[in-house]
Amino acid sequence: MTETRDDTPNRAVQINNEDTLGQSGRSVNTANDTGNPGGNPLRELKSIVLSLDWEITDEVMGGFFQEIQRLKDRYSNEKILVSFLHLLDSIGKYIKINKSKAHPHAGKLLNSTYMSLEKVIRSQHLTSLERKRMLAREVKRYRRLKEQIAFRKTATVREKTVEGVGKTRPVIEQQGAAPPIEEGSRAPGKTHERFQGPVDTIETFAGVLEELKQCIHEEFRALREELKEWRKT
Amino acid sequence: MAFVNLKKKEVQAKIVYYGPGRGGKTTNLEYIYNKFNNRIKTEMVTIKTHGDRTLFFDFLPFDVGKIRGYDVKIQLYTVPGQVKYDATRRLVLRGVDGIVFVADSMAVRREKNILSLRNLQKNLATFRKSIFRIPIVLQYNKKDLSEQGIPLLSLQILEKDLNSQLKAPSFEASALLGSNVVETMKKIISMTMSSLLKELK
Amino acid sequence: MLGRKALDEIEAVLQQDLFDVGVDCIFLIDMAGNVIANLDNGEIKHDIYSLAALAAGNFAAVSTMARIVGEDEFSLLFHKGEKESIHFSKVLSDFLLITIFGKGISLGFLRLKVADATEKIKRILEPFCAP
Repeated sequence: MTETRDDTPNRAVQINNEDTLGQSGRSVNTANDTGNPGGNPLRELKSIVLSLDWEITDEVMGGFFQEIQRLKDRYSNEKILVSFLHLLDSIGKYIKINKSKAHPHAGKLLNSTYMSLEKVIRSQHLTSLERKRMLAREVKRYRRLKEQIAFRKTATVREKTVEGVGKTRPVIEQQGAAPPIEEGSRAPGKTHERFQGPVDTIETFAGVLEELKQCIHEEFRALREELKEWRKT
Repeated sequence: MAFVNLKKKEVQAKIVYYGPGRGGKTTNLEYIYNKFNNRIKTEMVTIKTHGDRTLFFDFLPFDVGKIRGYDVKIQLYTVPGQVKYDATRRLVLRGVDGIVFVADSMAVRREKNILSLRNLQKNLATFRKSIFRIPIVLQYNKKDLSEQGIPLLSLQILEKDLNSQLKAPSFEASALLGSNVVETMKKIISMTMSSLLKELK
Repeated sequence: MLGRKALDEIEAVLQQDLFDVGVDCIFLIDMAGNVIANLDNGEIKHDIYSLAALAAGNFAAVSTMARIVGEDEFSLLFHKGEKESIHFSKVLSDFLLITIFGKGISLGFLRLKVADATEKIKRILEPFCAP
């Protein structure tokens, strides 16, 4: 059967439940549904997302996950909304775990995903296709961010490899920009595999990144010493 | 407290023009800003009320040039002189290295001069600084008003009221006309730098 | 007096923790308004010395207000602009870290980065501060 335009968003938005932004499927405690007295169902989530713009704390993140869970329970029969919520959940977990080490664009992605979710819920006139497209756009952005995060970590792994063969010059300088990501293109298989890997991979990558930074500092320190010696002669 | 940047080979020192309201502190800075326009690359910062009274402070960074291989950057500040802005004056005094006390020579301002000097002493004490140990120059401003027949305090009276204990260098001046404005500034800069060099040793 | 090594270390922290995540301009000042260290993206030409004087005055004024209303200090001093915003963070009792950043970075994320950078700078500055 040939691909129809209708089918494309369905394929693109197929989100694996294990799909994560560089963290494991570690669960975060979520409270039971506290219910929403009525009115805008996203009011609480909106207030939390806005407050995250100002301050990222464990307390706020806790409230965020609580609210996501509540909405998941409420909209459990609506696949597209659940997918949006799953995206938000994943981004939230990534931010919570990585905090200041998180990719700076994660916050933006959280906001844009939320805004799309809000539009989907509040706009009565949107067709099913339009909703799927909005979701597809956010999924694309999500995957792009995942690739960017993976690239950062892959670069540190390559550095370790280079060190292992006796070269100490940091390879990261030669990496250049992240590989260009074309709209609709699939991410390189290897990075996907890495992210679906074992739970402690992220800690390993974070550790390797730290070691790389140390190595670069030491390189510059050595270079400065050399220059001092050279000036003396 | 002056900051010496060993990496950039730069010294930053803070000089505050203090004194009663409408005494001529801002006018001093404005004169300096206009006179050295070609050397001062930045705008003078002024935070004023609608009535042109200093509300927070005026600020003028002044590059003196190199002294012993170090670029010396003097930061000239004024404080608001009105009595009600005491808290603000205290904030601006923080980290001060040298002071120019701008007294108002008008006879009707005699008491205000004395109160302002006492206020300076008190505010310096909150930072554990002594008015007797910090570089200070007195400027007896508005000498030009004598030509308009306005009663002015004599030099003897001003010295007795304000300088009998301090024994600081003093200048009769007219900030409006520029008389002794630059001399006052040069004096306080050199005193401040000497004091700083002593501390560094 | 801060030596070259300490200044280099501070600049390294500012570079890696803040500048490299997209902050446009960063400066570390003392409470007198002196500039200790600064970094910028080369495109903006802010008058750092005036900014430093104003920042110190601003922070001091707000701190005084905090005490008047019964607070030790406010946990956030931040000015939001159309394109650029400014964040202030106290480092020990004598220094301020000021960051100027655009829309590409959220305040929440910036505050996390600033907290990290502040801790590192504290460790560098502590030996030089009066007990």
